[in-house]
Amino acid sequence: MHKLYQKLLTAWSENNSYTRMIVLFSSIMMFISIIMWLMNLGSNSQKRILNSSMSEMSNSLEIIEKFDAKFPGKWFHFLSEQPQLTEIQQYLTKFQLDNIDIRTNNGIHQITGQATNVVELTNAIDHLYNNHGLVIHSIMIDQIDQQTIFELSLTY
Amino acid sequence: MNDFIFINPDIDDCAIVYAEKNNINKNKKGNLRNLLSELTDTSFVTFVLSRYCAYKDTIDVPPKNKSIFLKNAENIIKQDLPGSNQKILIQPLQGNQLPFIVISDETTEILKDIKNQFKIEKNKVLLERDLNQSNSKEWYINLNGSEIMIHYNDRVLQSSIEKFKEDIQVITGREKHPDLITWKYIFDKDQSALKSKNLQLIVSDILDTDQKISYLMSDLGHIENASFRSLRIKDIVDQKKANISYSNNWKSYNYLAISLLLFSSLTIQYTNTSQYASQIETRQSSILNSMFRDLESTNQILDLETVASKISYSNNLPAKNYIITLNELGDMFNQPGLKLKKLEIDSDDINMVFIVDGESVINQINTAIQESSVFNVNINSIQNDNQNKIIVSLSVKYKNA
Repeated sequence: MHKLYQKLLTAWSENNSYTRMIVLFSSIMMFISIIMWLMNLGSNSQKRILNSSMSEMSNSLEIIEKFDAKFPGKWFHFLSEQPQLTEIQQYLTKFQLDNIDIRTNNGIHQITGQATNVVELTNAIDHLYNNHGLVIHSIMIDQIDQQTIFELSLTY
Repeated sequence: MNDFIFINPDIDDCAIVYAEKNNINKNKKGNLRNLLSELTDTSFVTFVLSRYCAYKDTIDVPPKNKSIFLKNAENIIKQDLPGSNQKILIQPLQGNQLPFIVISDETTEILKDIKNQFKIEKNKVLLERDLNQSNSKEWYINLNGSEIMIHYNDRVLQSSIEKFKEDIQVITGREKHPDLITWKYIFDKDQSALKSKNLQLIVSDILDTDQKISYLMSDLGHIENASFRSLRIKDIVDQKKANISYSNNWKSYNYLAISLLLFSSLTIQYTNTSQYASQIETRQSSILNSMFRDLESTNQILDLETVASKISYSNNLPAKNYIITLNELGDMFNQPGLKLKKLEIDSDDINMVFIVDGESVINQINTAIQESSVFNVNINSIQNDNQNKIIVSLSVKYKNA
């Protein structure tokens, strides 16, 4: 190490000031290049992480896009909690639905009741879908004596 | 080599001396610029720097680290000089001795002025000592007013008429006696001969050596000799220029080129990578902002993954969105005289019962069934009830199911 230092010192002292200036400038450039190289390593690593993140995001977007084609606007309800039975009952009564009975079995809400007409029932179904993400699993509507009796299964 | 101009620090005490002995009467002292102005051709003038302007000396070169010493010789010599206002000109190495010339800055300025004024830069410049190359066999004694310069064995001693006897005794007592001593004069031969007569007698008392008197410029063959290296005005005046040729600096130039190439390529690479990363980030951010523009989210990427994950694991959802099915059925059977009695949707089975006012409505139903591109409709039954109404029972399936 000492010999190398002596050799470098000798080489340095043999140079004139013009050469020393060039060597000094080149050494500074080399030093900056090393820093640039380290920064490149960091930047490449960040690039890989971003690529990976972008790829995962593309996969997620593809899944959501397919899902949204079938159930438009439902995907963002997955970011909130499922509505409780009491909440569903509360919403249904707002739409003048009577004799409401709700039971839940394996994540499916089975609702029976009466409505004055089919339009009231479909408005209630639209509201539950658009605002709470509840989807029709099965439906039965029967019109008897100006009354609409229904059996509705909803799932989240 | 016709004319010599002797330069002194006092610019008004310079002298012009002609090489030809016949022109001795033209020799005269005066202001340097005036003397030069009187000459018709200044290109052949040789300048002689007096011992007060410049002197030559040598320094021993150490056997080890010779190249380092030579590179730094100027600085090493400067360390031993009394003042700093002088310039050092390193001469070619002679054995282990490095000759150098020390010239006062004042003289350099004088030379610079006359170079610019008279457009002369290649004129030779000699030191006073160069005129008399003494050796062990031949010594020279210059007469210049009351001042006497004794040149012996390539050395010089300044003396005076009063101190001459004492000085010559010291020299002759120390050095080998020469075969010939030449007395040199510049101006009037007779006056110089008269002046030197007593001095020659002093020498005769001490030495058994031949003596003669001669014109200073009569024996300058050694100066004409090709091996004699004289300076040029530009050597003294021009600033020392750095040697920037590739052959002398190839290592440093290559180092510079490599470092620049490396720096440039790494900079370009870093810029490209940063730009790419920035574009990806912007695109990602733009997509997420678009997706979540109406939603509150603190971590949009995580929320997106959560949604995708929940979609993938949602097993309870039906194969069709029956709200869309209801709308499609509504569009298909939205006809006057047609009233829904019963509807069942469960998995792919859709059963409907309608109450119809009149047979014309049945034709409309038939047309709608025929034109539907979405559903395959099967009529299960058509019955009349007891209130003059027709009851139609249908089974509906998606065409692509």
